[in-house]
Amino acid sequence: MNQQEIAALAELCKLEFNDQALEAFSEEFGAILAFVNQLAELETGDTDAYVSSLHAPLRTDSAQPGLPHEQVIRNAPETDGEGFLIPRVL
Amino acid sequence: MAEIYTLTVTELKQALADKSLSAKEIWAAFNARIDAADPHIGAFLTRTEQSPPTLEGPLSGIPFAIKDAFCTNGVRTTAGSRILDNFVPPYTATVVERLEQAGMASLGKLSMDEFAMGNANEHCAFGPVCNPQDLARVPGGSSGGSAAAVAAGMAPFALGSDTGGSVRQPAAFCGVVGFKPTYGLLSRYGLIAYASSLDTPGLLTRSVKDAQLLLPVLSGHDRHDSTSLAEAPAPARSVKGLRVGLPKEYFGEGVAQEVKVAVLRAAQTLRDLGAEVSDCSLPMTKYALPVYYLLACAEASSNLARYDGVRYGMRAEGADWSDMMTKTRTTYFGEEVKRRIMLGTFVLSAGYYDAYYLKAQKGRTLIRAEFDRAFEAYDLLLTPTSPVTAWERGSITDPISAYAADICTVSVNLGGLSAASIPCGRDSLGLPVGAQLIGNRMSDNTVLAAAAALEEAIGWDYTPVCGGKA
Amino acid sequence: MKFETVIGLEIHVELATRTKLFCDCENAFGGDQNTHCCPVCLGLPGSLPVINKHVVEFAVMTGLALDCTIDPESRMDRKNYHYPDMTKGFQTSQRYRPICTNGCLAFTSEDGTERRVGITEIHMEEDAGKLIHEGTRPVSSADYNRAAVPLIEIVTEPDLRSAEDARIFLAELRDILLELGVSDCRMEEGSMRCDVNVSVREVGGPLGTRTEIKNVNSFRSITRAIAYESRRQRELIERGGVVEQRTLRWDDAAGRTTTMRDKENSNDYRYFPEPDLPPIVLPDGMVEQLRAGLPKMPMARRAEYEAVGVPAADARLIAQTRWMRTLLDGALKLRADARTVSNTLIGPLSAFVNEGMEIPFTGAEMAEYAALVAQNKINSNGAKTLLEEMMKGGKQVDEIVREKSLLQVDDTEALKAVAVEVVSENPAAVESYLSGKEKAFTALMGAAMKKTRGKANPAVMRELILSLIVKE
Repeated sequence: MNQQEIAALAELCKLEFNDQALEAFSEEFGAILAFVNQLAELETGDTDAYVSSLHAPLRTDSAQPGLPHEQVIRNAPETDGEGFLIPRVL
Repeated sequence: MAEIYTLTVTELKQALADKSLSAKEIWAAFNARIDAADPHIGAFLTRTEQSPPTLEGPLSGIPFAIKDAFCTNGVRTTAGSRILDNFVPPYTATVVERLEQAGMASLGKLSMDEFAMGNANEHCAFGPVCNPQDLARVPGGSSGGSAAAVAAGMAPFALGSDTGGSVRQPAAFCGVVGFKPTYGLLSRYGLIAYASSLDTPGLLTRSVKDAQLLLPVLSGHDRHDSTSLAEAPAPARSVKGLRVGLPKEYFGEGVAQEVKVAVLRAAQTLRDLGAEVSDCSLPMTKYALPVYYLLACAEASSNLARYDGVRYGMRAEGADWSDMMTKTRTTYFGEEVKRRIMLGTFVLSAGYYDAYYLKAQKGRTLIRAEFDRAFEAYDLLLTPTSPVTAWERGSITDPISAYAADICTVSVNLGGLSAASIPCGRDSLGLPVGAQLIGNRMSDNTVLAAAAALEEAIGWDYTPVCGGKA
Repeated sequence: MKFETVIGLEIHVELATRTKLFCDCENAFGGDQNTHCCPVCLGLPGSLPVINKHVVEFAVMTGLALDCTIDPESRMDRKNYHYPDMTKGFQTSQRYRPICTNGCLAFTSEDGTERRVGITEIHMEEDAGKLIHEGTRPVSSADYNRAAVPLIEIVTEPDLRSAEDARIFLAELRDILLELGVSDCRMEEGSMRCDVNVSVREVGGPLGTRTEIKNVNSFRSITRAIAYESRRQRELIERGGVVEQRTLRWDDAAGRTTTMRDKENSNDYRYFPEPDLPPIVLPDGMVEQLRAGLPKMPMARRAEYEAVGVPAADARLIAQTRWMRTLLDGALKLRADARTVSNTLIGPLSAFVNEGMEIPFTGAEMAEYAALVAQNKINSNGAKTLLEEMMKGGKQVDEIVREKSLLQVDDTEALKAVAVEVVSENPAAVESYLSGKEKAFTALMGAAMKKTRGKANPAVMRELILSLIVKE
């Protein structure tokens, strides 16, 4: 992968690399990709992708009190006492 | 008179029952041990306030420690990451709740590789952990703090989590027992997720008996976890006549000679106990590492998306909300975490999903099928827990080399199997070697029974150590 | 060039369950910010989802009502993207195996023809929180009360061909959802939201590039947005331009679409199966049970009413209105004249209801009333009185008729005598009428009615009077 592609990938997962870091990371990433590319050798044919054999439990629709308001916002990096504040979303 | 901190859970329970020890004494003893030993080990990230426990229950008066991956109501929980440096959960993980309901009290939260990504506890944002067997060496990871705490006698039992070997491998490196139950047996509710379909809460103890004692307390259906199992594992089969397989792929080139020797000696011990031990082959083994890394990183990249600085944890300044998220994650995530998020994002991305993620899931099906076939011929498999013993801190910096050390453990998680690591010998440097017993899903009791029998025959000395310093 | 507009809809419906999709938090509209939240819907580290059974049932019911195939083992998938209203950095939805597929909804177009719209799929997903942008500070505030509220998304095939058809289709769909009781479908409260996909093509040509229009918040906006966008695309093509696949935002005040920021357009959602949720395997018998319990669908009801003579427009209103339905259904059981009942429902009874009154009588009594009217046993005055008395409640229909002597007088001999009297007593009115003043006849009828205390059969009376004066 070239550095441009890596930068685009980083944007998807909300990470950024400065030029220096990008170069170092590109190299490492190349090695990691080569490592996982071993998988290409494996014949998987028409094997099914793994799926859990369990059934999702279906919960009864009965309301319970949630967290008290102050517990909901207690860890907020920035709050006005009611909600979670973030830089303005246009 | 043995120091209180050298006692196991079972021994403490007995002492409390016959009133030879009080809960207050026990609490004081372990806290004093932490004060003495942890400055050399660095296992504890958060200590519980120093007051004696007052909870009632069958395990009342017995303390334990918790890997910082488990949420604890009102107590800082970091997952070993700066991004959660100030996070105080408003709820407690189910497995912790069950231990507390049984009367146990937490000594504190233990260091770990950041978001459970690592096998040396060198990727903890708050500093590395030292192996009590040799302070210059790594304790293994990601539950390095848990294994070290138990090995140094700072807790008789610690909760860990195992996604690719993170309970078993540090147990092997530190010379303690590490048990990974069948996936789904122990609730994941409250366990900070790394890879959802692989994460398994696990136990670090200084005797297999302790794990046997604690398993029923911890296991059982949890309505908060949709992957939680309702059934109990099958009853234990006796060691006599047990069919044990030695898959040759786990004794190959990549495995250190001394490790092989120690584990093969354990195999012989099992024979002496009446088990039928023979060679077998699991050709899919070599694909387990890439399959594991692809799937674990894919799930992790999604599980860690929530750390965006909006609702909790640390936040960095940004020009707008998007920039704030990017700056936050870039500033507060460690390098290994970023690597895995990037890899995970990549394998799920358009154009690569089929060739990587889907292919890995197919590989997983094949690996599971291979295990199912093996478990028709064998009741258990015996392998080394790790291809090498504890390495020197700072000596492995290249990610791929680090990943390669997981070769003996990851396939167990891909299969959702049950496995235990017990110390079976030492190498020429005196470092512990772990033997791993693997059973099919729901055979946890057989795994533990065989491990207990092997442990007794081996006679390992679990006396707590602290690198000669305490 | 002759163009046709091709429209598809993606309708998000908030389900009226008691709790959210994955947790026990109350699913309620309004309330103080962040007061219906728990570790699960907040997406706190370590939290896990557990599916609400009612959501699955509502999704299946909707699928059955829309003639869909129900997947007995659907899956949930993660749709990964970052946004401040998303607590987990992904939305749990259904991409690879939605719970319902391949359905159809028929409706009557405004030109009277029947149209069918394919339902591509119905899938379950969770809603996001709300972002509030108030005040002068450059900050927004996030409220997660709505986070993880259950939604179904109904996706149609691009089978609609006009803005009006889209509106009719949506109204029909809304009627069904209301009938099922799965949602209160209030567009103004956001419990029903619609994204519109619009493209244009030459008639008979291949499908054109479509744009997706968001922020269409009312039925009126939908028709306006479609009209605007189809014209914009047509004019663009006629000028030689190319329509770009874009997500657009409808600005109702300005009456136009605007491009949304590029970020929203170029997202790779990296869908993969939700590892925290095993497959949703429907319990044995659930689908059959739900199918058996389905209420009659509005279209079927309307067809039934129309078949017995209720005019189409009235049939629609009656089918939608519970009190009207109850009365009509009850009356029809006794084979009442449907037209008479529907007229009464739409006319005088609606007037009473609009004044806040409640109807105290049953469909059976409605049938009795209708019989009297349809068989001409009471005239319009009598009918009015009867209805007023019925609205007071407590008396049987025949009791009221007897007490108030409401039966119309049909006896020609008796009426003839009255006609003769009226004509002889009102010579001025007769002359006025014969000289061309139509209105004068009313006075003669009025006098006749007075003499018969309103009970004369008006048609018969009219004929009798006319035969007397015209002869002269």
